[in-house]
Amino acid sequence: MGILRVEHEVVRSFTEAFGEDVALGLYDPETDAYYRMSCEEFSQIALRNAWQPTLPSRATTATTRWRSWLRIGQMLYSARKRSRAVPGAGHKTHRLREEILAEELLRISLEEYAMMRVGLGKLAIFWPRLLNRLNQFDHLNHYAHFGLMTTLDQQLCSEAKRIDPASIRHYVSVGGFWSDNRYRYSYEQRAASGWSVHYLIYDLIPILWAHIAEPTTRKTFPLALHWALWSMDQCWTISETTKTDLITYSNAHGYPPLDPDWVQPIYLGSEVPQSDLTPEQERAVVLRHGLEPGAFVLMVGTQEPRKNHDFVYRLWRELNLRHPGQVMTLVWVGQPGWAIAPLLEMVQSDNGLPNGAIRILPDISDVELNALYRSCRYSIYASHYEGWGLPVVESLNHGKPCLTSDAPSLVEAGAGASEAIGLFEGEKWLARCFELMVDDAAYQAALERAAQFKGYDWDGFRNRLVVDFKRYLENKALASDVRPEDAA
Amino acid sequence: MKIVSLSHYPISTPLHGGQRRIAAIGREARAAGHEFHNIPVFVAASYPEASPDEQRTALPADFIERLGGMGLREDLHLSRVLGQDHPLVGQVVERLQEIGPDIIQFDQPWLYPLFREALRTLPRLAAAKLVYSSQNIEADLIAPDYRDEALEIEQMLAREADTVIAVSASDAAEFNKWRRRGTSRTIVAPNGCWAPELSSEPAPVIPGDYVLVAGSAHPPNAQGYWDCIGPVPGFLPPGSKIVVAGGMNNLLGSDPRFGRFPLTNGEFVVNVGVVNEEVLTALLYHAKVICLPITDGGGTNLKTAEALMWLKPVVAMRMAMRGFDDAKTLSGVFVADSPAQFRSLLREAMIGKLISQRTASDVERYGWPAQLAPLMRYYKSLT
Repeated sequence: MGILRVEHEVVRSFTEAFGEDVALGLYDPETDAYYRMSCEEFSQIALRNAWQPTLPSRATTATTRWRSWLRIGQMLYSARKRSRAVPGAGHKTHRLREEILAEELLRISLEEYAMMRVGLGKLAIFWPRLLNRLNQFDHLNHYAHFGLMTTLDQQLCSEAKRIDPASIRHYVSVGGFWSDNRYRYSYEQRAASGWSVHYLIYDLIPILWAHIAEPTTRKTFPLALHWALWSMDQCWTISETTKTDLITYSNAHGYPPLDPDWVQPIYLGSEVPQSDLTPEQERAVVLRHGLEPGAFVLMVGTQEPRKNHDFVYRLWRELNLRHPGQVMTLVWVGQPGWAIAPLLEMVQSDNGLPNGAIRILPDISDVELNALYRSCRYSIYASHYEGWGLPVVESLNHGKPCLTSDAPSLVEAGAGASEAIGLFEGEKWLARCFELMVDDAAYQAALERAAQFKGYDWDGFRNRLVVDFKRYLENKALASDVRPEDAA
Repeated sequence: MKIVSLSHYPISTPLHGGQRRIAAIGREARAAGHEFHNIPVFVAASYPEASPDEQRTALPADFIERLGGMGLREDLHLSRVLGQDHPLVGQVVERLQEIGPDIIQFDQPWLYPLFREALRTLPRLAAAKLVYSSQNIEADLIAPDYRDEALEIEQMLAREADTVIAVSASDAAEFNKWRRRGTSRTIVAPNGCWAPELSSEPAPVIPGDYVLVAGSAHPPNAQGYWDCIGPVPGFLPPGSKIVVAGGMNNLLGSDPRFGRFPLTNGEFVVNVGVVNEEVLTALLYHAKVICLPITDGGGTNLKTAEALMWLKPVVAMRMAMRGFDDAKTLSGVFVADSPAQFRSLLREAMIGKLISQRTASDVERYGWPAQLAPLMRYYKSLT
């Protein structure tokens, strides 16, 4: 899950509520414009990484051999004539000529191409320079046949799909707005086309925790947020913590005041997915990774300094020193991220850490992850700072106790069902981690506490988002005496 | 009257506040019919724009290195390191005797120990009036480690001077405490600036709307920037900028805070550095707002006078209005009591909600002629 899943849910909520009044837009920084995208295209590309190019139609083989040769001759003549009509030189000209040639090749069938290829191949014996041309034909024929002549970007960002900003009334930004110039575009269109601008803000990590944030984002995010804060008509955040941080930051640096009533936290959903695995299969998943069901502690998240793997590593090292042979394995699930290599190397080469005390599993599927959650003793999430706390929610969704740092959003996400310990309370961490391993009564109490977790669902997210957006429309209508339905 | 000013810097090309003040005193004194000379004792490398005449009393560049090597300061310890027997001292004394001044004035106390003996004993100089034409209470501005030593020198000059000139009533009150009973009260002659004299509209230096802040490489100027403007200029609407002029650029650029938001500062902050009069005039002319983020530093500020004279909306911290108390109620002057309020006022001014309807006659009293009038009256009283 991540930003893409959230985008998907936001798209779903608005399209369900407003139907065809919603345009899903893909921003192209090269042309500084938005292009209309279908929900299916979005799902294919963003969620499933399963975009398939459109296969072009191709001629079928002629009924007779001489008709095929005639067609081949006509194709070669036409291709040459059209290609030579394109003036100039350079990359663009070359590209246009290739497109012409590819188009012409589709006028003969694949079988006819093969006939031509064999014939021209024989000619190449006498005319070696023809070989280069034949290689080019092969290349273009392949691309043309499989619909690869235009890139995904070119197909999605075609002129026909370009969105006229004057046709839009409300702009909802829900993804990563800081990686290109879309924040400038929306600011400008707010003035030029009268857009209202609505942002979903996840967190202020690149500003508030810049020192342990990924370097590119900590440069681009503050500038993007500057433009966003100067154009925001309505804002949603994924937690009260982010709302507080955003308003505090905005006030501290002289930005236009944010009306707290128009900055609403909307909690992300997280449901326990139905597992296709039987209990035996789940057990096998756990065993396959050399783990014993119920006898390991789980820590989920991208490995990076902010997630504080360093702290948990030192915790586990000390636990093993104090209670040799009694400490459960700590399992880190997640991809290695920015600036984590030195820590991972340290962990791997630590002679003071018993073998297997910390297992690192970077490539875990969602199915396997759910199996690990169901089989762990409890989970740990000692992050310095988050905008929300998805691993906390996931752990509690599976009924597993979760020990967290006292980062405000983790406490918020846990809603009282998780247990927060300050990062400077080392002894408390050590005591509690071990207690939950060996003290069945303490563990049972922790399970009961985790069981109180009510969870968050995507239905609720979608509903609250649309309700709040409609509240904006009604408020705007009251302000300008326009009906809400006309304002959309 | 023949007036000689002994200064710590040249004034032929005045760039920072201290230079501008002495240059203005000289111009007003000459306009009043007096003869005015400024003899600067300074390190040549620090003021490459000094005139050939001024360079006759400049110290070589390696002098700073010598001072630095001994852990000493260029201002406070100059007298101690040079010593009264240094050829330059003799050269200056000789020049003084040639002129035969009626008034000898120091704008800062640091040179006084070098010439104290000569001024008390040499006949042509002993008769001259000694004036401490202060710009600040220097002991309050210097680093705490050096305060006692600075205070000793400054109090010595303040006590021994026939008259002390101060830039503000609060500075004057402090000097009066130091002076012996029965001696003359300190004269207040605040900083000012020259009224804009433009024959035509200057070409813009920076396109678009901007707020202008100017300051020398005086550490309190940089501190004021960080306190009031901060590392993120959130008060600037997209498309506008903050333009930073003067030596404070160097202090800002070398501060690690400046690099924490590189793209934001790169887009919204323009550092023009030290600029000549022509460029500064163009910057002032086209500024949408002038701001005075002064939270410390003593004295009064040339920048305040300039900001008032250019009739633009001025957003100032209350400290910046010291010595300009009656200007706080002028149209287009917005005074903040906190950095947060300062930024809020800047934002409102940059989006055009705060405007100025000040006229030239409203601010005439902040020009050099009006501000230095008490000093000119003093000069006249000695004739």
